[in-house]
Amino acid sequence: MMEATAHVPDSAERLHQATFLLVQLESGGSSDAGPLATLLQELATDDAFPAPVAQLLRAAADRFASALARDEGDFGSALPEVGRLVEEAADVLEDGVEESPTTDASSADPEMLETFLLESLDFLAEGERAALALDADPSHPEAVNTLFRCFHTLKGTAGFLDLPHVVTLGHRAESLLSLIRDVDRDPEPGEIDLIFRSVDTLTRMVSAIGAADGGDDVAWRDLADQLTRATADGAGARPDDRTPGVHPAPAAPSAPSVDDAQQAASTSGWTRVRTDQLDRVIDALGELTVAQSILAQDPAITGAVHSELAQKAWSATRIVSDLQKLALSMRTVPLAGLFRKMARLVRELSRARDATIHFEVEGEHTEIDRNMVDLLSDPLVHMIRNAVDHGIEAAEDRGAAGKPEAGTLRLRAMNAGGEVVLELSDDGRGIDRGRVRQRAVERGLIEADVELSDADLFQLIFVPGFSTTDEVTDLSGRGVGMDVVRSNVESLHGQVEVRSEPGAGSAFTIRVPLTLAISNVLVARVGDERFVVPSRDVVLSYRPDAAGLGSSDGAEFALVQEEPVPIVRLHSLLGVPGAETDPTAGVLVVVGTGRRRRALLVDDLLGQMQVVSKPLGPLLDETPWIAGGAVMGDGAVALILDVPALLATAAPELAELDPALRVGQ
Amino acid sequence: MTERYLAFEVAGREYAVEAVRIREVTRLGRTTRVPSAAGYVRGVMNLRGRILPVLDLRTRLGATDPEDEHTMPVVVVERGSVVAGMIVDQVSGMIDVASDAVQVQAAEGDDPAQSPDRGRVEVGDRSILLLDLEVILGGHALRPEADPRDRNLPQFASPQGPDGTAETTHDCTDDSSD
Repeated sequence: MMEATAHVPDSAERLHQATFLLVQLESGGSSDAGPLATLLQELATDDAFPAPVAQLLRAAADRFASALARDEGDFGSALPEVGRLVEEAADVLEDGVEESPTTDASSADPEMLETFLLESLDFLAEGERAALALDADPSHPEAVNTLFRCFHTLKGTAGFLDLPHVVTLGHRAESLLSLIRDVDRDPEPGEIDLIFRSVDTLTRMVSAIGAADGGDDVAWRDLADQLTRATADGAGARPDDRTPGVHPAPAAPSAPSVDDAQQAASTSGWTRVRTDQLDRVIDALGELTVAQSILAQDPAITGAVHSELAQKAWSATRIVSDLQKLALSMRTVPLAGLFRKMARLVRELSRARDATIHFEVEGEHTEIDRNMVDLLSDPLVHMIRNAVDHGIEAAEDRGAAGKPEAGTLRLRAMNAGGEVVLELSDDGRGIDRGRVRQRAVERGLIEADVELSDADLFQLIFVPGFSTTDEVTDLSGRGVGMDVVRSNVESLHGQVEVRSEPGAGSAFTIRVPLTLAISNVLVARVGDERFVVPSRDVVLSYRPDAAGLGSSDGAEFALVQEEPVPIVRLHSLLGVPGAETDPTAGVLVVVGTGRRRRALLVDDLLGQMQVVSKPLGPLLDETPWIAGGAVMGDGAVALILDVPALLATAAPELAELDPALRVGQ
Repeated sequence: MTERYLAFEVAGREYAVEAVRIREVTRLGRTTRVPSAAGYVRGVMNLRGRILPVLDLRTRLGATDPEDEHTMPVVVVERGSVVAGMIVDQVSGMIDVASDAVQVQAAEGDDPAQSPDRGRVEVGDRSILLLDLEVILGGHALRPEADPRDRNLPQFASPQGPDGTAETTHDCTDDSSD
């Protein structure tokens, strides 16, 4: 590391002298505080020092001066603090002012760097858990220690690998925690913010080391300076004289705790695998599964005179299928990381709104394909913003309604029937049915006199541009959001449902499959072509009779469970020649939920199977009505219907569905 | 400086593509028609578990009614994230071309940017056109009327006319963002 003291040789020398005087005073070698007081005053006004150093020195001088002012003979108690500040100033001066490149570019062995990267990100994740625990309960006994260890270890390893910026920031963060720990007081909210930012910034910096472009390190210096200031300010704050901070809610029983983190970390026998390699293994296994099933369906085997051959093929098929399940389970991760991110969001949003919100989580150990996790983040963010912004009332309104002033937001996850269910519930005002209905009528989505179940009515809030909020806030923007939630969830092959009780709150439930790697499909024939419909989208399929069909204004309907459902003629939509055009001679496949349903007309159903869904590639991926392709048992490709697109409906759709338009009666 | 090319015949002319763009040469398998795709898109086929869009280079380069054979050679090319197979009549083999041997052609059509070749090279008595993959694989291979954003269900009485060979370049504006 470059010797930065060359910039301010004289002043740096005097700083060292101050350290020397301090040691003398502390060890009893001298009892004359005068020289140190004078030197500190001089140093504090020395403009040769960079701002953060000067600030620390001013704090040291002030502290010492006020101790002397109280009692000239008993300044001893101030020495540890003053000493810490002076040392910190010396440290900052040493590693902070050199003109270094903007990024840490270590010359260390790439493999060592990669290990460092992976380990550090683990440490930082643990740090984040601890910070959240600290935020929920500032007197958390272990969190400060965990954070201290996290920054300390990070700093140590980064030093070894010659990453000066990470070292500096890690060191400053460590100093702040060391102060909090030594003074034995709870951290202030502002300090917790700095800790969060340190974790985030270090995560970015460490990740950037791994990135090909080296990344940038915007604002880390600024944060380092803020940490230094906080350490300087915090040195004087005693448990008894700190301002009572507005602390967030006490720890909910289920809040992520440091204990959980330690428990998780203590599980032994892990091997790190690069995710892109794992993805390739899973892709290859998907292909192997399909290839194997093509082989097993080959007439040479199915019609084998030698039943032994069929037997062998069958046992190979079973192994391949087990292998694929195993590989998929390797790619699952717990939702805990995503939940932490949401806890951070709630924290920030409640700060911005100056509200107290308890955030409770449950089932954060529920596992899901890691490729799904990032995609779940957006819809959750929208739902949480919405709940904080529109769902949970202001404290005074809550008080008036006889509710606790602090709102509660609960995020739960669980496995159910091969799916992951995520539920976000709040104890806010609930959705105003009247306003949703009024807005839907205004927007021409429904007729004024149509009767709708709650489930159908609440689905309307997912229509693009639908909003019942008159005011526009900076938190959740204007009327965008819920449609994004639905389209995101649908792109994950999932569904979203809403329940709400006026005055008591709302609950949003998202159901998504465990993985997108394999899906169950229904294979349909249209003319000479095959199309597959994801089974999750299919409500039922049947051969209609003439009495169950009708039309109005050229739009055809089928009566399904006494409700009119628009018929989609796939042959005409997809331009298939020679297909069945008479619904009574074909099959109707009913897809969708509630009022968003369509009856797809196909010639016949060929059966059900498991497929690996694949994209058509950039050249064809905007093909209307088609979501992708899948290799079938015979080795040819069948196209997968894009059911959400088939259901994506223009505004008149709900009016069309008005039972008054029923033609069967 | 020389560059290596793969040469092949399409509709009685010889074309070539930089060897670095070639993934492999395979045989035409069973293709599945893709609705709304441009006329020169034969469909998609299974290439060892991956879905490969297959373009009929013969139709694309103006041949009328090319004969269809199940085992026609398919040249699999790659440009950026786009991987596609091109049906050709016959693969001639690799050629090495000196960069100063390429004669940039004067544009024959009215839009030089849309010309499927970007130059000509003489190798012995062969005159080979260098295929411009930017043009062949650029944009989407969907017909202009097949605009996926126009998803109003009540109007799905199929407006699709006979297959046109007109080329489409859809912009891919993503309006799903927040």
